[in-house]
Amino acid sequence: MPSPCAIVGIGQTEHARCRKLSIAELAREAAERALSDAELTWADIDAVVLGKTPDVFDGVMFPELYLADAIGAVGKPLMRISTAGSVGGHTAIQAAQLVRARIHRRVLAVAYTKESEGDINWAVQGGGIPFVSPFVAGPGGYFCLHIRDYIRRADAPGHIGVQVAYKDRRNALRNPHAHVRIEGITREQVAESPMLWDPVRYLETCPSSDGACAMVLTDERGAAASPRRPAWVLATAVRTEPATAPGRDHANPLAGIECAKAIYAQAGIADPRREVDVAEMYVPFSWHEPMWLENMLVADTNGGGWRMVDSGATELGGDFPVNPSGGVLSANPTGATGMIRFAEAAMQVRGQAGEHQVDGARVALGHAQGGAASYVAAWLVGSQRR
Amino acid sequence: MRDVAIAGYAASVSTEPYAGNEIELVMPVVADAVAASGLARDEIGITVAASSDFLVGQAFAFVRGLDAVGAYPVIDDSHLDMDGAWALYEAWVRLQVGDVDSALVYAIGKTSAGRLHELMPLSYDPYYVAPLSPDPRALAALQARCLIDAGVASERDFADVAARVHGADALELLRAPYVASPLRAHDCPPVTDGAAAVVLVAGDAARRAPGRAVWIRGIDHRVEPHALGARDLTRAPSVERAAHEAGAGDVSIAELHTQYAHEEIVLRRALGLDDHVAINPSGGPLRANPVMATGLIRIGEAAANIAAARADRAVAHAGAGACLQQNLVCVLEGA
Amino acid sequence: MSDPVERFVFPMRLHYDVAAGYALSRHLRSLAEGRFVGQRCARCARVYMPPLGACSVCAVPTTDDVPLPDTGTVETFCIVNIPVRGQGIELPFACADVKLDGADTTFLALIQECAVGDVRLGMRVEAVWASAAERSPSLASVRYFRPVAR
Repeated sequence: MPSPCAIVGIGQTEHARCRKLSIAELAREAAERALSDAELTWADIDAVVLGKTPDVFDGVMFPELYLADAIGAVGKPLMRISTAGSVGGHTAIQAAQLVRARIHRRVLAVAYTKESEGDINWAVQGGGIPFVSPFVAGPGGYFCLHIRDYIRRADAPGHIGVQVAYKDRRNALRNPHAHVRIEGITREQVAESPMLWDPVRYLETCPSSDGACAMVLTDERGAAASPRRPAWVLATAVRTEPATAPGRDHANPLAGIECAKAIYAQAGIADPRREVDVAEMYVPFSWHEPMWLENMLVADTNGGGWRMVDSGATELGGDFPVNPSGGVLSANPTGATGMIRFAEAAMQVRGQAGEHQVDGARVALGHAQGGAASYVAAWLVGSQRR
Repeated sequence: MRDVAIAGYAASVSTEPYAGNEIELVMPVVADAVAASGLARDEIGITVAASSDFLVGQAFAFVRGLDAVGAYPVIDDSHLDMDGAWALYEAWVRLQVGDVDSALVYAIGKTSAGRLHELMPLSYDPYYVAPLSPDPRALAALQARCLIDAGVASERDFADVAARVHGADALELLRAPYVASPLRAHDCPPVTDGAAAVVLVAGDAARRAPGRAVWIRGIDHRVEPHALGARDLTRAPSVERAAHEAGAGDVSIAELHTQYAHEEIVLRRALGLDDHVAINPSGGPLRANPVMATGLIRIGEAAANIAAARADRAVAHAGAGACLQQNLVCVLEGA
Repeated sequence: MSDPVERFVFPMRLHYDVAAGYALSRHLRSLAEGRFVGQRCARCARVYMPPLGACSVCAVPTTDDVPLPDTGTVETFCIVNIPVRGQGIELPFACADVKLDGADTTFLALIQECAVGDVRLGMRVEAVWASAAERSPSLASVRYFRPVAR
């Protein structure tokens, strides 16, 4: 059964539309910051796990080969995970598994994206292949179909999406790494921003960012030697379902529900709403916050999620803060996004989140999704080992 | 470490372009491997997939592949843009964690969809090397040239490898023109479409599986610097290290990821394989090279030999990157 | 001495031969003829439209062709207000997950001949095909869906 695993170093870059660094420099910046946080050197790392969204996004194929030197992997085992938008989460979990299996003592997990160097429109359009729909409604075209479905089922009031976005944009002002930081942001600005995919408006959607994130994971001895408080991995789970299967519930995917059950069972949590102190969740469009609160069994189905949002519970000062970092709406280097959620969750229980710290956070949820919300990764981290 | 066995293996390869799509390509292979394992599909604990969207020109192609592999309703699953050998490694790691007892690993390689000479350069340094669009055969030829210049091997040695694989005469082969000096067409891999699947079982379940058990006794992988100029191309230190960590030695069969004839010479030295070891009885990548599945097939073929009692110990090698930059070594043993 | 190079453009030109697959090819050829043809799984009888060649539930090939009507139902929809590259569609427009009568899966379709505010979940729609001269083995043979005339 799994041996203990702790996060003792976390680093991320400043996320931005276009970082003037090479791809190697970007990935290395996050990795160096994680090592520095852990007060370790490259020589202390036994293995490296790299995560990255599809290579067509930035035009570099099998980037782990090019990056081997930059991320300190020469002479070591190096793997590259690829599970679409959830990849940062799957990568962190794979790194944890190497420690929990006692195969390696210290593993560096790195995830990045440099989409400013690619042509994402070409990448997602598939080049006019006749059996891919010629009519592509943009990245929101898939998600917003199912957001409408949720709004209908849950009988949700129209202001919920704006409320989530306004929260995340204010939270971002407390996060020096966030890409989108709109000083003096008002609720009206969000509510009056251009409508993109009804009912989702521009300021309710995620940016496209360059950025990287890294973590150092280690065993109990490494945690004991850590100069700063470690975050303990309490539970991990990944689940996948076929995206177009008949009868699939896109607004409440089974993969998410099963993933949630698995992590709460592993961590011995019976009531996540009460026992989890903060969540960093994959919310690329505002309405995903209430949807995924229900999907991850924090709130009751068909409305519990939006009621939580409406009550103010998910605000930084509320009793179940969601995305105190500003979330995906504020920074979205797609390959790193999942790992940023997992890392921000770990930062919370280490007391490392600075101005967006949730007071007394002891148990945190990190959540990531990919594909057509068909790949889900989640972990629970805690300030105490269980 | 938990004992892990290979309980099922299937592969399908074709040097003629496969007219179906990836789903149709992988579906029967996965079904056959699962059937061979004696497990029901929904009994298998985790799934790990390997493929490259870039090679087939469609982002998220791997997501569509799930329809073919019994992912319904939900599975514990991962995917790598690496050869299936690394997917097998990820599955093996999870079995060591101990919370699951079996894994399905599969790899899809529809190489005919793209043009490797256009695509492979995109896997080199994006600033200094990729824009030169070097043909992958040319980069391989640099290593072959280094071997000759160092007095380690000759063009005749390359021809001997190719002659064995193709059932041809070495001197005849030496009369063929170069495609990238000193490599000739027969020293290079054929464009191949294919897929492979392996089922792994751990612990007691492994001991109960049908047929002769094939145990993974050791598995390790290492990577070298990316820049070719930073490496001694006559050697493969990552192979030596991985072989040491995996406990390779005393084998009678070796399945090696030799896309180019000269790589066999490099790998024999790095793995310490003498003339008694049968190299690539399957024919190897010079006969069939479904990129992304080739390495997994090496492991599967080595296992098949042990299961059929043609060997008691075998080593399988998978490689990635120009001139074998990254390597995985897997040691297999029969009960 | 000129300024250091911060950025350069590396144009790529990549050629792909993409196979639709046996199952999807049959379906695409039907589209060229102005007909929807899905496929049924012999094991569970679910009908896939469009078919990819496998039943996601049973992981077996779908081998039985099933002709489907031009009519279906809107399962969910959204109203798009951004231009889509290469598409000269007037904004805003509605796109929907349409389930053809007799099928068990949905596909994304453009809705036209309808005010976007009138699109409803459960709305009955019918396909409008391109002319015979314009059709090809491609989803572009279907121009859009419109509400079924009452």
